[in-house]
Amino acid sequence: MAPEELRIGNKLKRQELFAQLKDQKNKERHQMRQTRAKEERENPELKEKRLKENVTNTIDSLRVYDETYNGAVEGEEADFARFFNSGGEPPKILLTTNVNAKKKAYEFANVLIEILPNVTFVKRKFGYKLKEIVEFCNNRNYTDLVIINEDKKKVTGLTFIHLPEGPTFYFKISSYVEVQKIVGHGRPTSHIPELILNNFNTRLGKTVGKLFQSIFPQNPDFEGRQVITLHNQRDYIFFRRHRYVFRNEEKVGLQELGPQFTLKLQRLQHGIKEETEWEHSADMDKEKKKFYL
Amino acid sequence: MRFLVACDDGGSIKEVICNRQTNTSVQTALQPFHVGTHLAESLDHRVEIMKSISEDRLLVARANGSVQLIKRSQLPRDSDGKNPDMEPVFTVSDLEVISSIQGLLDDEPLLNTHKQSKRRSKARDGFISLHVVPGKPDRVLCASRSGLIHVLALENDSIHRMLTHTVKAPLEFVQIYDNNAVEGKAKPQTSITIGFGGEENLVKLAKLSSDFENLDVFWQAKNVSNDRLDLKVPIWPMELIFLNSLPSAEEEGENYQFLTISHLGHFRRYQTARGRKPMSSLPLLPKNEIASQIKIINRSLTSSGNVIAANFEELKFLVTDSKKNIILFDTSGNVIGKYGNGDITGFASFVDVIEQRFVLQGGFDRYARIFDAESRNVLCKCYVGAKVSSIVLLDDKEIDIPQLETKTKKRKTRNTDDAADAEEDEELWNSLEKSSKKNKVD
Repeated sequence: MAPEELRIGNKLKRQELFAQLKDQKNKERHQMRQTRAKEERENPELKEKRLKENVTNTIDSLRVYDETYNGAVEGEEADFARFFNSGGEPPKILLTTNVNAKKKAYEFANVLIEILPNVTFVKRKFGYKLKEIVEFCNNRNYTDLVIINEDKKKVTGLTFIHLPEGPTFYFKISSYVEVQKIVGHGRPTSHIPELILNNFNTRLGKTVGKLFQSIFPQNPDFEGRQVITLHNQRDYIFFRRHRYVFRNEEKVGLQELGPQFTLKLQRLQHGIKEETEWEHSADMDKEKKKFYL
Repeated sequence: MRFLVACDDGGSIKEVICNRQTNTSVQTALQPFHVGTHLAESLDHRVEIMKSISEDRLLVARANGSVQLIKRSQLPRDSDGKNPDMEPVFTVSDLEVISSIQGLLDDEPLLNTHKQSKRRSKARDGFISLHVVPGKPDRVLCASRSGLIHVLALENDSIHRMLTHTVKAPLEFVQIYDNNAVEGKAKPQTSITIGFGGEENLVKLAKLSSDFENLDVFWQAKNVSNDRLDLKVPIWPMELIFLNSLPSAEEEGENYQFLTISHLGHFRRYQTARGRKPMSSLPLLPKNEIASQIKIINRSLTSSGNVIAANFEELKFLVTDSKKNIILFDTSGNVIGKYGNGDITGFASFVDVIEQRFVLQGGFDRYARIFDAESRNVLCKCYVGAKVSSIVLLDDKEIDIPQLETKTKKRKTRNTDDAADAEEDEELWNSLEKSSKKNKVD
């Protein structure tokens, strides 16, 4: 009910009356909750039943049907082997930037050097084609090529090329928060982190998940207690890095190590930037409840 | 509808049986009656080309360099027995490899040309075409990207290699001229004409002697003139389609007509009698986007996909690009429309047109779709779980779905009593007249 609906000419009076009504309603609600909580404390089944019946509709829960969601992946073993370099050798990553990159790109490269394992940064020189760069990498047994994309002094994207035969992923980067800006941040150690991948459920999501799985070695150093989380929600992938500590048998403490940034898949290409397997288009944003990862 | 889909990821062939309006993306829509997986191998042994050569025989070329002859037999479907009367009745296919031949690919020639190639990924040999020789149903031409053209013999349900010719690599297509066979002019002793080309490999026409021993190139195209910046236009024909020869030029000797699409989306028309350069070269795609396939949709086609007509005019054809578009053009290069606009999200690796009625599409988005060629509407869309490399339509018949016999509701007829009706009407009119009368106030 809005104050205008009270049909009282005097504005002050109307507002006063409305405030009273609202206060009364609030009190009633609090009362109701109090009694409900009391009843539920005595009888926990009631709470269970209420929670089961009152499920809030969220955009996530109302997502458009996707037949690939949580489905089995055909030929998974072959696909898996393609990503995880059949010899089982640990990943070896070459990191570079776009041509003529500015300071921001190098700063971001410094951050990525700390995050990615077994990484070599090479300053991008003018005059080398992507095909040549890929050949150099293949000759030196690199397993992945990561290219930072900087535009107008902002880091805008990240390209991951799995070597030797692709696929190629291009992600848009947003909401970058540097380590120093995170209150109470810790200092990361050089231990290989554990990896948490959340909500990569569709066929495309599983491919993206596998990319991240292939980038980090499969044998984390548990004594480092470091964990990298890639949480997918509504096609945005949130990157977070924490250190955990088991305070007692029930409580776990988390300390953020940073940085924070968000990735959004823009393009997945077959081979080294060849035929498009999936590409984000503006039309896809029309439907708010359709997600692809 | 019944079609076979060659899937990349598991190297399998899937049989899909469905009706029109099937759409696996919509939960409430009609779903396929049957999706059966056959002959699964692995990603490295994926099917590259699948071709139906008779009612019950298929030829399949796999990425590991083998060509298999497959026997297709029909079996009654296993019913789950819950409600047999209510289940649609159809048969399912069983595929069995009856003969195969190995070692038809060779990476070596491609490694030499890879340095100059615009392709970034490591060069791997693969099959590019599989054609039954016109007039000789027991001979098959099988070509690979590395320039190997194998002649295979099918005898007593077994397949073996007769001989192999080598041409300049890399190849994108090898097309066989089978328009004569359709017109009934092909004689067993006449030679076979083929056209081939690829990256920095101009379109060439060659004659294969009737005993398959000799392969002689008799015509080679010339590149188009330099562009407005006086730079060389890249040579990269992607596909070639022959047309019937002009009847007037038959006496003059060799005269072939064909059209090609280039990697940069240039639609070119050639007449060998008119010279080696194309008669016209029309850029179709904006921003030099990469074209991969061309298919004619408004003319009858031979089994190898050539046009049974001698006229270039009024052709409608579809062109696929490397992103997700299947664009329909007319001969003057105007866009008529797109197939699957907004629905297809990945590169269409396979497109075929069946009898000017259906457009089969399969691609990297792991769906097999059938479109109505005329209206461009999706007739059925089925998720197959793996990248699609080839589709063969076996039949387009609809399957009857048994319906529950619902008792037809008889419309309740009112007891018509004329006298009573007339009385009711009278009363109604009286009441209306009374209400309409107003007392005049003086």
